[in-house]
Amino acid sequence: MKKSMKVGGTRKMVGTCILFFVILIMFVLYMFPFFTVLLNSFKTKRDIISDPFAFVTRDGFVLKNFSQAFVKMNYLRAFSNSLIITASATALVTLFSAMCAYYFVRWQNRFSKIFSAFMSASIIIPFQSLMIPLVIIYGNKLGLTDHRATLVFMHIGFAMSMSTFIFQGFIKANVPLALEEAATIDGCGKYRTFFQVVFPLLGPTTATLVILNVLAFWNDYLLPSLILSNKEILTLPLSTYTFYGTYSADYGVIMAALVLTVTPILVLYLALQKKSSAALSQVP
Amino acid sequence: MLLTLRYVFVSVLLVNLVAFLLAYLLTNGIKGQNFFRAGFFTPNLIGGVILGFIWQFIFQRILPTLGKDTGWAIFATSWLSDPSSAFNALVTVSVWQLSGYMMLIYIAGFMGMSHDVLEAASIDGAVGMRRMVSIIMPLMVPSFVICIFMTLSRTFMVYDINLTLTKGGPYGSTRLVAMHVYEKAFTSRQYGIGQAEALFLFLMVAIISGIQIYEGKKREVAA
Repeated sequence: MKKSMKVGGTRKMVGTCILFFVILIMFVLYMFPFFTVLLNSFKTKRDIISDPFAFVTRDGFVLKNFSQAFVKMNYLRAFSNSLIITASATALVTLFSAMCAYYFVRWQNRFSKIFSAFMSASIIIPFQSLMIPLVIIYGNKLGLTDHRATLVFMHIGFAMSMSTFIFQGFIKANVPLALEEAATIDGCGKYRTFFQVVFPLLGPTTATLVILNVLAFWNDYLLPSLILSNKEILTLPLSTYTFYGTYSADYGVIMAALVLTVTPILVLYLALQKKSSAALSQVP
Repeated sequence: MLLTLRYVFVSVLLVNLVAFLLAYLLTNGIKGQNFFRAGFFTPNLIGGVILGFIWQFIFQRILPTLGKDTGWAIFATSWLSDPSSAFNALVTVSVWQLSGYMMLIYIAGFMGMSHDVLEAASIDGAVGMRRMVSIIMPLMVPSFVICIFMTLSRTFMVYDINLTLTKGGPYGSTRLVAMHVYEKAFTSRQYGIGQAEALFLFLMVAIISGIQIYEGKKREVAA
């Protein structure tokens, strides 16, 4: 047996150490941008320009940036807009796509076959190829833009095909037909079978899709920017963008605004970290 | 369009290389690997608009200061002020953002790999590079297919980062196709031309990812 293959040999330990340091260095490089933004969000503009790395500065740590950014970008309003839109769109997408996938898998008729094929194929269509007709029809012809409900509706539409596709795969592989038959024999109708038997079994996939959809809706910029223009209903990314355009020279306040925008999703992720990392590793 | 193709090619290559490497390093059972995985995934949690702003600050203020302090020539001027380095900046940010997500998929692939095969290979004397090329890579083909597909579609459609990091500049040198479509349609109001370009983008994405999936599936092996 070679020396290096011995369990716990010196060479193996050295190898593990080197490995650890390689990962540590990469990790520091990955985190570097967040760190600098956080550090500089506590500084005045003068200090940022003179030395962005310094921990000890002439003006000391200031919290003024945060209060300024909070007020000027209308943080609470943007945050609640984002929250309403993300929450309702995610809930509806999850429900509709699960129901749709269930129908496609269990009722194999010509209608479901054609539609499921079309829906899977539509995953590949880039958003840019649809956005111009979307804006012309919904904006110029129907005048439906500038409502939060329109944005929710569109988020649902664009996320449906991917979610349905993933649910379909899961139902085919992991939901036993025997359970549904048992439920039918016990007197459950279609809807009761779905909500009380099938939907609870979709748990892991639902978790994965909820995370992916929440991230997509919360962070989306292009679609909301086309739909929403009224200042009252801007989402967080939109209001950050507008804010940046107005105050781009005032670095301290900008950094504080970025920290404020990033915080909610990071907190959510950290709070759900155990669950979410398990869910995310099952991404298709 | 050529610029976009170049961007997509370079990004897809680098994203998958970095992600695969990270996944490989993070499945060796070192201490705190869950913490590291979560850390590398973090850029994915944040929208492209915000990431673009963060990196704009890094490229404009932080790196030039670093260059001045250390004397490293590559950071002497802001990367965003010169066309070729602005392209590099865009690729850097894309790789930084996407590699964490792809890493998770590769990790899932590594975890799903059968230990019997790896053990049999090590008994047969396959170690180091040999183990990587002849055993691990073929078994990971399904993960490669998914990751390359996802990076392809993401990079073809990238808009947020492009908008907030470089705004297409300097001198329109980093205006990727998504941004071009947007500007044609909504800035200069040429809906027809914009839509034609968008349709071309769609065909391009469809053809390239179709070929990629077909070729990938052919290479899949049963363990």
